[in-house]
Amino acid sequence: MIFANHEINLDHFPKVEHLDYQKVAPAYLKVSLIGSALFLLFFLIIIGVFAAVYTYENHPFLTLILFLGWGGLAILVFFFSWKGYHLRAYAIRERDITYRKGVLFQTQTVVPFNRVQHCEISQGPVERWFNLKKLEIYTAGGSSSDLSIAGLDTELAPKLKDYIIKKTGLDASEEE
Amino acid sequence: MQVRKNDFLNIPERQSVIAILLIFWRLITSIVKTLWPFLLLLLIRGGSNDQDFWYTSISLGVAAVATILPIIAYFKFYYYIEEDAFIIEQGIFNKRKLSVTFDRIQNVNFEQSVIHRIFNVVRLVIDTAGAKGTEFTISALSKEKADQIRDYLIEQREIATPVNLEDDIQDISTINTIQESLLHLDISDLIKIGLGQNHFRSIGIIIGTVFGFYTQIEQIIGEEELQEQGGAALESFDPTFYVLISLGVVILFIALVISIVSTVMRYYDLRFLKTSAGYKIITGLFTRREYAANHTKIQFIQWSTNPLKKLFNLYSLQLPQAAGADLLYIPGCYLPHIDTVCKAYYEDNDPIFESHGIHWREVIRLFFAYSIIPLGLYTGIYFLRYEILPPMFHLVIWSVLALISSIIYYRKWEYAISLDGIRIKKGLFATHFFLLKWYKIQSIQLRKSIFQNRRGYTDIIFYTASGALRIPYIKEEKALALQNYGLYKIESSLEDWM
Repeated sequence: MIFANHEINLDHFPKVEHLDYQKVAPAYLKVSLIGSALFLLFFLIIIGVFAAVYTYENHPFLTLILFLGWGGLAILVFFFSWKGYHLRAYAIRERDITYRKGVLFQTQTVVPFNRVQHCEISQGPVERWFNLKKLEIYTAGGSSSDLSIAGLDTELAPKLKDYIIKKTGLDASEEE
Repeated sequence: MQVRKNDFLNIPERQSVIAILLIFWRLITSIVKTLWPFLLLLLIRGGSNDQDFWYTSISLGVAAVATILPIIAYFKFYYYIEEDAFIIEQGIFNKRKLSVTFDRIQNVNFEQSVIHRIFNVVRLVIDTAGAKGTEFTISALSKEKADQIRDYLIEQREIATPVNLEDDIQDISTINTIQESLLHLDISDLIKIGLGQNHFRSIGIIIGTVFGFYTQIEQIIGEEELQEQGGAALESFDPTFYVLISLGVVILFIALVISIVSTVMRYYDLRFLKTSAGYKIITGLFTRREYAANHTKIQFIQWSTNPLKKLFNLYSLQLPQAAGADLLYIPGCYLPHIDTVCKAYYEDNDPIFESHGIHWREVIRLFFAYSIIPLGLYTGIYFLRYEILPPMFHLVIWSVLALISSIIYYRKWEYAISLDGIRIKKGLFATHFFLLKWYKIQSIQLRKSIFQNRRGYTDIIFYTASGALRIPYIKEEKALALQNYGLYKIESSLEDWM
C-alpha cells in the first residue's frame, strides 16, 4: 500500500447541511394521527370517569375546565403530530445515514455505516393496516443513539436494510 | 477451527472444599445483613420463656439450614469442558447449566478474600462477551488448579477465535505480561485520597443509615414505644447554637473517618500496572481484585479533581471500556500518570488543541433546571403539607445558589478540538476532564430546543460504547463543522474502536 497523507481542506468535506432529506411515506401521517387520537381518547375516558365520580355534581365549573383543557391538549397533540410528520426525514449517503425528528426538541442523528451493529424491521398493528414498516438501526452507543425510522413503505424498508447491511460489512479500505 | 484432541477437564470436577466455608460465610453475612434488627432485639430483650422457646427453635433451624445448604451446594456444583465450551452445573433445587464457548471468553480473573488467602485458594471469574451479570464464577479453587484452567482457557480461546481477530488474540494471551508499574498507592497517598473524597456523599450515607436504623427499629418495637422513649429524650434536648455546631463537627468527623477507612479498604496497596496490551489494576485490603483493560477497548479517558484533591495535586482517573467490561478506576494519581495514560491513548504525541467556550445562554437553561423545577416541586409539597406558600427567603436563597452554580458551571465549560479528537473540561465543585478520539465515536447527534433553534444554537452529543459526551449550546455552524469532521474521521478510520 502506498502511504499517503494529503492535506485536507475543511471546505471540501462532505457536508451534512447539504443533505437531500427524504420524508417518510405520507400514510405515516395517518398512523401518527391515529396514535394521537387513541391517546386522546384514552385520556378523555379517564377525565370522563374522574368528572363523573368527583366533580360533575358539585363543581360544574371545574368539570368545564377539565374538558376545555382536554380540548386544548387535543389541538396541541394533533398539531405536534402534523408538524412532527413534516420534520421527520432521513437521508442516506455512501457511508452514513442521517435521521432527523422532533418538534419541541429537534434532533438530527448521523450513524456511520461502519458503526452499525445490526438492523431490524418491525411493524405495529396500525402500521400493518397502512402497509408501513419501521427500520431500527442499532449501534453500540446505547438506545438514544440508535435510529428508529418509522413510516417506511413495506417494499422500501427491506431494501434499505439490505443496503445498510451490505455497507456495514465493508471497511473503508475495501470501498476504494 | 482446529480439532482439539484433549482430555483436559472432560470429567466433571468439584471445586475446593473450602467453597463450603465460603458459601456458609456468604449465607451467614447475608442473613445477618437482612435480619440484624431482629438479632439485636433478641440480644437486648431476651423475653419470656415462652418466646425463648420459639426464638431458640427458629435460630437453630436457621443455623441448621445455613450449615446444610452450603454442603449440598458444594456437592451439586460441577465444572467441566465439553467440546468447545466451559460448563458450570449448579443449583440446589433446580439444576442450572451455564456454558460459555471459548471464543466468547474475554478474560479470566482471580479474586481473593481474607478467607481465600488463609486457605490459599482463589475465586475464578470468567468474563464473557455476553451481557453483564452473567455469573461465571467458581467460588474456590486451589491456586495451581486455577492457573491451569486459566492457561487452558486462554489458549483455547486463541485457537477458537477466527483469524481476522488476530490483534485481539494477542491482547488476551499477553495481557498478563506486566511491563512496568505506573503507580503504587501507599498509606499516606490513601489518607490524602480519603480526605479528598466527596464528603457530601459520606454525610448522606450517615444520615441515611441513621434514618434507616430508626425506621427499622421503629417497625419492630412499634411506633408508640419509640416515641415515648425517644420523645422524652428529644424534649430534654435543647438545640442551642453550640450543640448544633458540635453535632455538625461530629458528623463531619465521622464522614471523614468513613471516607478514609473505605478508601483504605478498597484501594489498599493499589497497583496500577502497564501491560503489553493495556493496563491492569490490583487493589483491595480484604478482597484483592484484579481489573484489566486493553488499549483497544478503552473508549475515552476521564480524570477529575476537586478543591480538596487539588490541595494534594491529586486526580482520579477512569478508563471506561466497551461492551460492559470492567471500568478501570483509580481514586488518586498525579499529573504525570494522567499524562502517560493520555499519551498512550492519544498516539498523536503533541496534539494542538483549539479551545472554545459555550454560549452564556446555557446559564439560563441550567438556572431553570436547578431552580424553577426543584422550587416548583418544593412549593407544591410545602403547600400541600402546610397549606401556605413557603417563606420567600427559602426561594430567594435557593435561586441565588442556583444562579451562582449555573454561572460557575458555565464558566468552567471548555471544549477543545484537535485533528484526532476532542477534549472537554467541565464541572461545578469538581472539575472533570474527558479525552475522546474521533474514531471511538458511534454516532453524532445534534439536539436543539425550539429556543435554541430560533437563535441558531444547538447541543452536540457524541455517543460512545461507554456513554455519551455532550457539548451544550454552541453555534449551529460550529456544531455542523464538528459533526462533518467527526464523521469524516469515523468513516475513514480503519482502526478498531474495540
